[in-house]
Amino acid sequence: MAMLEPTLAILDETDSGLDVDALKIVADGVNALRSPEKSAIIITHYQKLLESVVPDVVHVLKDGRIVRTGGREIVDIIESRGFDGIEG
Amino acid sequence: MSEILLEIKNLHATVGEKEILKGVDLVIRRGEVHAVMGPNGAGKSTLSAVLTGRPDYVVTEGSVRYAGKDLLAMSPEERSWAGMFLSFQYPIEIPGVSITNFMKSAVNARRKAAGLPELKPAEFLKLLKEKMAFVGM
Repeated sequence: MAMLEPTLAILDETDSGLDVDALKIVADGVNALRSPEKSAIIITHYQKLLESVVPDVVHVLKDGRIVRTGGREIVDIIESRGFDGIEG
Repeated sequence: MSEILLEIKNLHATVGEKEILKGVDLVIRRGEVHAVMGPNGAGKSTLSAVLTGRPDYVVTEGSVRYAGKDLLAMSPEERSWAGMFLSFQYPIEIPGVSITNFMKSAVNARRKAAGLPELKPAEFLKLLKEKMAFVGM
Protein backbone atom coordinates (compact mmCIF):
# COMPACT_ATOMS: atom_id res chain seq x y z
CA MET A 1 0.00 0.00 0.00
CA ALA A 2 2.89 2.36 0.81
CA MET A 3 4.44 1.38 -2.53
CA LEU A 4 1.33 2.03 -4.61
CA GLU A 5 0.12 5.15 -2.78
CA PRO A 6 -3.53 4.49 -3.57
CA THR A 7 -6.13 7.25 -3.86
CA LEU A 8 -8.70 4.94 -2.30
CA ALA A 9 -7.42 2.12 -0.12
CA ILE A 10 -9.83 -0.56 1.02
CA LEU A 11 -8.57 -2.49 4.02
CA ASP A 12 -10.78 -5.57 4.24
CA GLU A 13 -10.39 -7.00 7.73
CA THR A 14 -6.66 -6.52 7.55
CA ASP A 15 -6.69 -6.62 11.35
CA SER A 16 -8.17 -10.10 11.69
CA GLY A 17 -5.69 -12.59 13.05
CA LEU A 18 -3.01 -10.01 13.80
CA ASP A 19 -1.31 -9.78 17.17
CA VAL A 20 -0.96 -6.37 18.86
CA ASP A 21 2.51 -5.70 17.45
CA ALA A 22 1.46 -6.47 13.89
CA LEU A 23 -1.68 -4.41 14.37
CA LYS A 24 0.45 -1.45 15.43
CA ILE A 25 2.57 -1.74 12.26
CA VAL A 26 -0.61 -1.68 10.15
CA ALA A 27 -2.11 1.23 12.11
CA ASP A 28 1.07 3.32 11.97
CA GLY A 29 1.39 2.63 8.25
CA VAL A 30 -2.19 3.67 7.51
CA ASN A 31 -1.83 6.81 9.64
CA ALA A 32 1.41 7.74 7.92
CA LEU A 33 -0.33 7.51 4.54
CA ARG A 34 -3.24 9.77 5.51
CA SER A 35 -3.33 12.94 3.43
CA PRO A 36 -5.91 15.44 2.14
CA GLU A 37 -5.97 13.68 -1.26
CA LYS A 38 -6.15 10.08 -0.11
CA SER A 39 -9.15 8.25 1.27
CA ALA A 40 -9.60 4.87 2.89
CA ILE A 41 -12.31 2.40 3.79
CA ILE A 42 -11.47 0.25 6.78
CA ILE A 43 -13.68 -2.82 7.04
CA THR A 44 -13.50 -4.40 10.46
CA HIS A 45 -15.33 -6.38 13.13
CA TYR A 46 -13.38 -4.94 15.99
CA GLN A 47 -12.79 -1.52 17.47
CA LYS A 48 -9.12 -2.19 18.21
CA LEU A 49 -7.68 -0.89 14.90
CA LEU A 50 -9.97 2.14 15.11
CA GLU A 51 -8.41 3.21 18.39
CA SER A 52 -5.17 3.89 16.51
CA VAL A 53 -6.57 4.82 13.10
CA VAL A 54 -9.35 7.19 14.08
CA PRO A 55 -11.96 7.27 11.30
CA ASP A 56 -13.72 10.45 10.18
CA VAL A 57 -16.95 8.57 9.59
CA VAL A 58 -18.24 5.23 10.90
CA HIS A 59 -20.90 3.16 9.13
CA VAL A 60 -22.72 0.12 10.41
CA LEU A 61 -23.61 -2.40 7.72
CA LYS A 62 -26.34 -4.85 8.64
CA ASP A 63 -28.16 -7.25 6.35
CA GLY A 64 -26.92 -5.54 3.19
CA ARG A 65 -27.73 -1.95 4.18
CA ILE A 66 -26.00 0.83 6.03
CA VAL A 67 -28.24 1.27 9.05
CA ARG A 68 -26.27 3.90 10.91
CA THR A 69 -23.68 6.55 10.00
CA GLY A 70 -21.92 8.78 12.44
CA GLY A 71 -18.68 9.52 14.17
CA ARG A 72 -16.39 7.67 16.53
CA GLU A 73 -19.10 7.36 19.18
CA ILE A 74 -20.69 4.54 17.15
CA VAL A 75 -17.62 2.41 17.74
CA ASP A 76 -18.15 2.75 21.48
CA ILE A 77 -21.84 1.87 21.21
CA ILE A 78 -20.96 -1.31 19.31
CA GLU A 79 -18.28 -2.12 21.85
CA SER A 80 -20.65 -1.84 24.80
CA ARG A 81 -23.89 -3.13 23.30
CA GLY A 82 -22.84 -5.21 20.30
CA PHE A 83 -24.29 -4.95 16.80
CA ASP A 84 -27.72 -5.76 18.23
CA GLY A 85 -27.49 -2.44 20.05
CA ILE A 86 -27.57 -0.66 16.68
CA GLU A 87 -31.07 -0.33 15.31
CA GLY A 88 -31.51 -1.42 11.74
CA MET B 1 -15.71 20.26 2.25
CA SER B 2 -13.41 18.43 -0.12
CA GLU B 3 -14.38 16.88 -3.42
CA ILE B 4 -16.38 13.63 -3.51
CA LEU B 5 -14.16 10.67 -4.40
CA LEU B 6 -16.62 7.79 -4.14
CA GLU B 7 -20.38 7.92 -4.37
CA ILE B 8 -22.40 4.74 -3.94
CA LYS B 9 -26.13 4.98 -4.60
CA ASN B 10 -28.70 2.29 -3.82
CA LEU B 11 -26.24 -0.50 -4.53
CA HIS B 12 -27.71 -3.98 -4.81
CA ALA B 13 -25.50 -6.99 -5.49
CA THR B 14 -25.95 -10.73 -5.65
CA VAL B 15 -23.59 -13.67 -5.32
CA GLY B 16 -25.04 -16.74 -6.98
CA GLU B 17 -28.78 -16.42 -6.40
CA LYS B 18 -28.46 -14.64 -3.12
CA GLU B 19 -28.87 -10.89 -2.71
CA ILE B 20 -26.19 -9.69 -0.28
CA LEU B 21 -26.24 -5.92 -0.74
CA LYS B 22 -29.73 -4.49 -0.51
CA GLY B 23 -29.37 -0.79 -1.18
CA VAL B 24 -26.09 0.64 0.09
CA ASP B 25 -25.62 4.43 0.03
CA LEU B 26 -22.20 5.85 0.86
CA VAL B 27 -20.29 9.05 0.07
CA ILE B 28 -16.55 9.39 0.66
CA ARG B 29 -14.73 12.68 0.16
CA ARG B 30 -11.05 13.09 -0.54
CA GLY B 31 -8.94 12.77 2.58
CA GLU B 32 -11.56 10.94 4.61
CA VAL B 33 -11.10 7.64 6.39
CA HIS B 34 -14.32 5.67 6.77
CA ALA B 35 -14.86 2.60 8.91
CA VAL B 36 -17.42 0.01 7.89
CA MET B 37 -18.38 -2.24 10.76
CA GLY B 38 -20.97 -4.96 10.99
CA PRO B 39 -21.68 -8.52 12.05
CA ASN B 40 -20.61 -11.56 10.05
CA GLY B 41 -22.58 -11.95 6.85
CA ALA B 42 -23.74 -8.33 6.74
CA GLY B 43 -22.11 -7.79 3.33
CA LYS B 44 -18.84 -6.09 4.27
CA SER B 45 -16.59 -8.23 2.13
CA THR B 46 -19.15 -8.24 -0.70
CA LEU B 47 -18.97 -4.45 -0.69
CA SER B 48 -15.19 -4.48 -1.09
CA ALA B 49 -15.43 -7.20 -3.76
CA VAL B 50 -17.99 -5.20 -5.77
CA LEU B 51 -15.96 -1.98 -5.50
CA THR B 52 -12.82 -3.65 -6.81
CA GLY B 53 -14.64 -5.57 -9.54
CA ARG B 54 -14.34 -9.16 -8.44
CA PRO B 55 -16.06 -11.57 -10.86
CA ASP B 56 -19.07 -13.58 -9.56
CA TYR B 57 -20.43 -10.51 -7.79
CA VAL B 58 -23.30 -9.14 -9.85
CA VAL B 59 -24.60 -5.62 -9.39
CA THR B 60 -28.36 -5.73 -9.98
CA GLU B 61 -29.24 -2.13 -9.15
CA GLY B 62 -27.67 1.17 -8.21
CA SER B 63 -24.57 3.10 -9.22
CA VAL B 64 -21.03 3.80 -8.08
CA ARG B 65 -19.05 6.85 -9.19
CA TYR B 66 -15.34 7.09 -8.50
CA ALA B 67 -13.49 10.32 -9.22
CA GLY B 68 -16.36 11.33 -11.48
CA LYS B 69 -16.34 8.10 -13.51
CA ASP B 70 -18.75 5.16 -13.67
CA LEU B 71 -16.79 2.68 -11.56
CA LEU B 72 -18.95 -0.30 -12.46
CA ALA B 73 -18.06 0.12 -16.15
CA MET B 74 -14.33 -0.15 -15.37
CA SER B 75 -12.32 -3.40 -15.34
CA PRO B 76 -10.45 -4.33 -12.13
CA GLU B 77 -7.19 -3.23 -13.83
CA GLU B 78 -8.64 0.15 -14.77
CA ARG B 79 -9.81 0.60 -11.17
CA SER B 80 -6.31 -0.12 -9.92
CA TRP B 81 -4.74 2.23 -12.46
CA ALA B 82 -7.15 4.89 -11.22
CA GLY B 83 -5.76 4.52 -7.72
CA MET B 84 -7.94 1.90 -6.04
CA PHE B 85 -6.31 -0.62 -3.78
CA LEU B 86 -7.63 -3.62 -1.86
CA SER B 87 -5.64 -5.26 0.87
CA PHE B 88 -5.86 -9.01 1.00
CA GLN B 89 -7.51 -10.59 4.00
CA TYR B 90 -5.60 -13.80 3.43
CA PRO B 91 -2.84 -13.18 0.87
CA ILE B 92 -2.16 -16.08 -1.48
CA GLU B 93 1.42 -16.93 -2.25
CA ILE B 94 2.14 -17.55 -5.91
CA PRO B 95 4.90 -20.19 -6.08
CA GLY B 96 8.04 -18.76 -7.66
CA VAL B 97 6.93 -15.14 -7.39
CA SER B 98 8.65 -13.21 -4.63
CA ILE B 99 6.91 -10.35 -2.84
CA THR B 100 9.53 -8.02 -4.29
CA ASN B 101 8.79 -9.11 -7.85
CA PHE B 102 5.06 -8.99 -7.21
CA MET B 103 5.28 -5.40 -5.96
CA LYS B 104 7.60 -4.39 -8.78
CA SER B 105 5.04 -5.63 -11.33
CA ALA B 106 2.24 -3.80 -9.52
CA VAL B 107 4.16 -0.53 -9.22
CA ASN B 108 5.29 -0.64 -12.85
CA ALA B 109 1.80 -1.49 -14.12
CA ARG B 110 0.52 1.63 -12.36
CA ARG B 111 3.41 3.76 -13.68
CA LYS B 112 2.78 2.54 -17.21
CA ALA B 113 -0.92 3.42 -16.95
CA ALA B 114 0.04 6.89 -15.73
CA GLY B 115 2.39 7.34 -18.70
CA LEU B 116 5.53 7.13 -16.56
CA PRO B 117 8.59 5.04 -17.42
CA GLU B 118 8.96 1.73 -15.60
CA LEU B 119 11.36 1.66 -12.68
CA LYS B 120 14.64 -0.15 -13.24
CA PRO B 121 15.50 -2.83 -10.65
CA ALA B 122 17.94 -0.58 -8.78
CA GLU B 123 15.43 2.30 -8.70
CA PHE B 124 12.72 -0.03 -7.49
CA LEU B 125 14.87 -1.40 -4.66
CA LYS B 126 15.73 2.13 -3.56
CA LEU B 127 12.02 3.05 -3.42
CA LEU B 128 11.26 -0.20 -1.57
CA LYS B 129 13.90 0.56 1.06
CA GLU B 130 12.56 4.09 1.56
CA LYS B 131 9.00 2.83 1.96
CA MET B 132 10.02 0.08 4.36
CA ALA B 133 11.77 2.64 6.53
CA PHE B 134 8.67 4.83 6.24
CA VAL B 135 6.34 2.14 7.60
CA GLY B 136 8.90 1.07 10.18
CA MET B 137 9.76 -2.37 8.82
